[in-house]
Amino acid sequence: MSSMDVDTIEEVEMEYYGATQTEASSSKAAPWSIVVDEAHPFDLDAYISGYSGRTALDRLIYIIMHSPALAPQALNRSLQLLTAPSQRDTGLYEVILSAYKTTATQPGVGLPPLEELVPDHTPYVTWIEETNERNSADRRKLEVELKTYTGNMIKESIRMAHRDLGAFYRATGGFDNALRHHTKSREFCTTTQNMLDMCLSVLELLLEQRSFSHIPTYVFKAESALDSIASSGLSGTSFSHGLGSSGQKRVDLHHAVEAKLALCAALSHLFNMNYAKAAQDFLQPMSAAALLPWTGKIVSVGDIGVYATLCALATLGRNELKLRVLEGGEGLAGEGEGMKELLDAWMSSNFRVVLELLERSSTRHLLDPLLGPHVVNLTALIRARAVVLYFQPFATIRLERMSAAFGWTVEDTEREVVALIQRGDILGRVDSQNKILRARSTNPRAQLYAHALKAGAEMQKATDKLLLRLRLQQADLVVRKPQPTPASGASESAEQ
Amino acid sequence: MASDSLPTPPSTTLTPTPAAAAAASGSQSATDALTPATGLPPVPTATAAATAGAPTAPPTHAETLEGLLQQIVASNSPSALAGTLRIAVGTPEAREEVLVSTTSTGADPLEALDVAQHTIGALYILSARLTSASTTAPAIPFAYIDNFCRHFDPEQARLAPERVTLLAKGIMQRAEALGTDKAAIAPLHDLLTRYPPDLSFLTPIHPIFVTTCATTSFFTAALPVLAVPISQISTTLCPDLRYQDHLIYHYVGGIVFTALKRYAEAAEFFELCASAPVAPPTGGTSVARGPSQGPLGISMGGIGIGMGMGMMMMPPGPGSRYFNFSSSDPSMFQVEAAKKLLLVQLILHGKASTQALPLPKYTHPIVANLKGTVYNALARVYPNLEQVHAIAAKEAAAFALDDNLGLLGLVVDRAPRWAIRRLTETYLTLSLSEIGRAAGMEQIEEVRRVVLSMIEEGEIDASIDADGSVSFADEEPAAVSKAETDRALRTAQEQEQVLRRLEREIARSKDYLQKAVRSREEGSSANWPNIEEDLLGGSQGGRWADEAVY
Repeated sequence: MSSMDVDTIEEVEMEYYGATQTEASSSKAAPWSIVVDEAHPFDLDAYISGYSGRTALDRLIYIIMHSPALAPQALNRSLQLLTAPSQRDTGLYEVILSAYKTTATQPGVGLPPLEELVPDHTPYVTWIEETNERNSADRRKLEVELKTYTGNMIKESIRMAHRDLGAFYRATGGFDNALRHHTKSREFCTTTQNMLDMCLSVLELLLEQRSFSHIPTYVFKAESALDSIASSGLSGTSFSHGLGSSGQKRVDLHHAVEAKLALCAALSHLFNMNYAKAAQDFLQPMSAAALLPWTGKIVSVGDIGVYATLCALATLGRNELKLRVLEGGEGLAGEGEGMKELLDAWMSSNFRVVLELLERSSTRHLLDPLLGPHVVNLTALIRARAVVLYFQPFATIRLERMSAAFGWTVEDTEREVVALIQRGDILGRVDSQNKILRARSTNPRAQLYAHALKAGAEMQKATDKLLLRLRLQQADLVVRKPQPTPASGASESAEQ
Repeated sequence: MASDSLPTPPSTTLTPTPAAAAAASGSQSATDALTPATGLPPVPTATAAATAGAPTAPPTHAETLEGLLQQIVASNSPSALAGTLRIAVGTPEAREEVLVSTTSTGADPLEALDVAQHTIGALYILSARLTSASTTAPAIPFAYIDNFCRHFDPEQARLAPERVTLLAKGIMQRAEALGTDKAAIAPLHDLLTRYPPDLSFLTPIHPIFVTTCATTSFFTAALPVLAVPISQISTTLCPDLRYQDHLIYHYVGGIVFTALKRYAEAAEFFELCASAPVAPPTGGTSVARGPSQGPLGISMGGIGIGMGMGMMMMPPGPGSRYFNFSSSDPSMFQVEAAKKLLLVQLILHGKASTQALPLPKYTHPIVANLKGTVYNALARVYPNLEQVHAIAAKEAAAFALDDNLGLLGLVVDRAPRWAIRRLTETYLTLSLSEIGRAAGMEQIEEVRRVVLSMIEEGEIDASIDADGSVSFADEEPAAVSKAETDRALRTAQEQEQVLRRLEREIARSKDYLQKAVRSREEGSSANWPNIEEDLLGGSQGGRWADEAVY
């Protein structure tokens, strides 16, 4: 734990220096070996039952790669899910096996070799052959359709053919082709609703592939499409499904799309380590119903709750947190395993419990492919915020007492406090010999005077410099390329 | 407008009309008198003697040295004499040739002239002789130069400003040629302090003087001059001022202050150089180009304390090698000044312009932007000893290229002190060994020595116990006495009056009124009261906001 502390402080420091180093630090923050034990429980079955389809497999692969203890179980589970009738991506088989092999060959892991766990490949090989056959038949069919429609030049049909091909490639693991067909279909969009559908399909694809860098572009496109639908919807002409309550339904659809877009934006902010912005987007109105086609397939509601709660704790002030999360929050913050308790402990300033809860659920969070790389950063931010909040009412406090409140050793506490003082988050100083943290005594009157004088002197200096500058410009003594005749006066300079 | 608003020196008859000049010159032929009236003002050139071999018409009486001497002695109007000498003997080259010659009897003309009474004449002859490449002219003993500089009549000298500049250059050249550089300091100092009405006027002698002080390592000699901040720029007093004079004076002045370890003043000087006004691009075509591109960047980088004297010897006018490529580029001096400023700020404040102490907003962006340079990298890790050492070792070549290696050493030596200073903000008590760990020093005794010297120099307020634990006292802001407050208020009021007067002057000026009328006609008067805010807000806004936390 103590060595990790140092790491986290560095992480946070690095953040202050801009984006260039964040790549390196994120890879460092994701250790390949995550412990699962009594203190850090993890129930694989319960976890994976919240997901279906490809996402479940992706998450299992992530677990195989990052947690040796869970790898065999996750391997079995993923092979079961792989041959489910809805699965069509045969390439995943190799991915799963090689993920396991990589983990098993890490030094000091001691996992049973792959052959013991999967003694017989034949059922999978047959499955792969059958599925591949079916896939290529489907692909041929869809491609012929596209060709026919292109020949007939029916825009709407071409668009749908592209969309279907995109969906097909997505199901069979052809990410690039899927993206290509989806974006191609854009040329054949006739209504803004088409446009919106295309954007959402692409966003779904991007989320599934965890490629966040393009998300903002499509969120932006989708938002403008949504806006134009909303404004045209007011005039009552388009995009109703003919039901009596069409107005109501339209509003619901509108909200559903907005919620999805907010989620996408939030996840891309999270990916870019912009936790404050991520928190704002996560706290947008969202509900399980609004995210419906995506829940379970892409993300689970509980996950979003966890992301939202952690980002909010790490970046929001106490009041804002109370206002937006605890009272009348329309978002999903507070949902998810253990998040209610976490928020309760935080609001009652029971920071020891907060940290314990975070530590206890750290395995669960680290094994989440979206949250994993950020757990260390977020925890560090939350911890720093907790220390600041705790110290606020005190003038002096023994570090011992502080460490008791946080469940740390005195050394850890001192290190944490010192880092916060150096960042300017705590106005105080540490008596390292007697282990006391003392708030800075201030003499506002003297400070004000000293400050006013200093500011005055600086102002005067600045004015003098400006005056000299003015005179230089009046005399045309400005740095410039030489003129054929030496500048000899103030003729043009007064222009300035 | 400049001549309206600036104090004018006593005599304003600097450029007599050709007719007056012709009348004054008496026996001079009409053609001679008219030649210079064709337009260009005579440009004094240090290299005039290079063309000495050019064929000239046989000298008439007025064009021989005796003739000129007679006029000088006979004249009782210095201003008329200045006009005569300016246009004497046709071309400037021919004039210089005459001025360096001796009388027909071989006597030295200077001996015939009284320095105080015939300042103009002596000035012309002396400056011509000192800058001439001709070997026939009799050598001038330094005692004569000293004497001239101590006794010349400033009023008269101001009638021939370009000759004064020439004289200053000549003194430096001569001292250099004799290998006694230091000998130039005293006469230059006299010249500089006596020539302008007071030292707040920038003159072309300023850069020459401080450069001489810097190259001879006789830094303290420059202090009395450097102590007076430049606040007046008068093109009436010094029509031959160039922007380089301002840049070089403040750049070299900064170097002098740095060498004397007076870093606060050094920072001011470097900042003045770095933030000097740059002409706006003249055409739409000029693209701002990094001045460090091309071979010039490298050769210019070498101007440190031992800055090339050749630079100063270059004749004024086009072709000097420190001109810029395009009008929107800053001067290399400014870029170098910005780099030195950053290092000085690190010594002075433990942090630098890139983060906490930005250059004024009006600084040219190329100058202000040191991102991606080793300087910025250094400032970012400062005072983390380990990283500072790493950068200093790795990038030594880059610093050496800018001639900043010595300064870098000072910056690095200072790092532990800044690390300890930071500790005082965080801790009340610490043991010496903990301080050593934080500041990157292994020997306890070394730590004790540094801490003690910091206490002695008043950098920290601390005490060391017998058991080796250091307690830092709270930094109480010094109590402000009433006298201090009054003084501050008084200076503020004075400043306010100065500004008010300036504002009135500007409000009266023709340019301003024209602009105001024009913008009123266009009905767009709304957008120009902002100019003021832009300027002041730029230099102060950021800092105010930072300090508002109290």
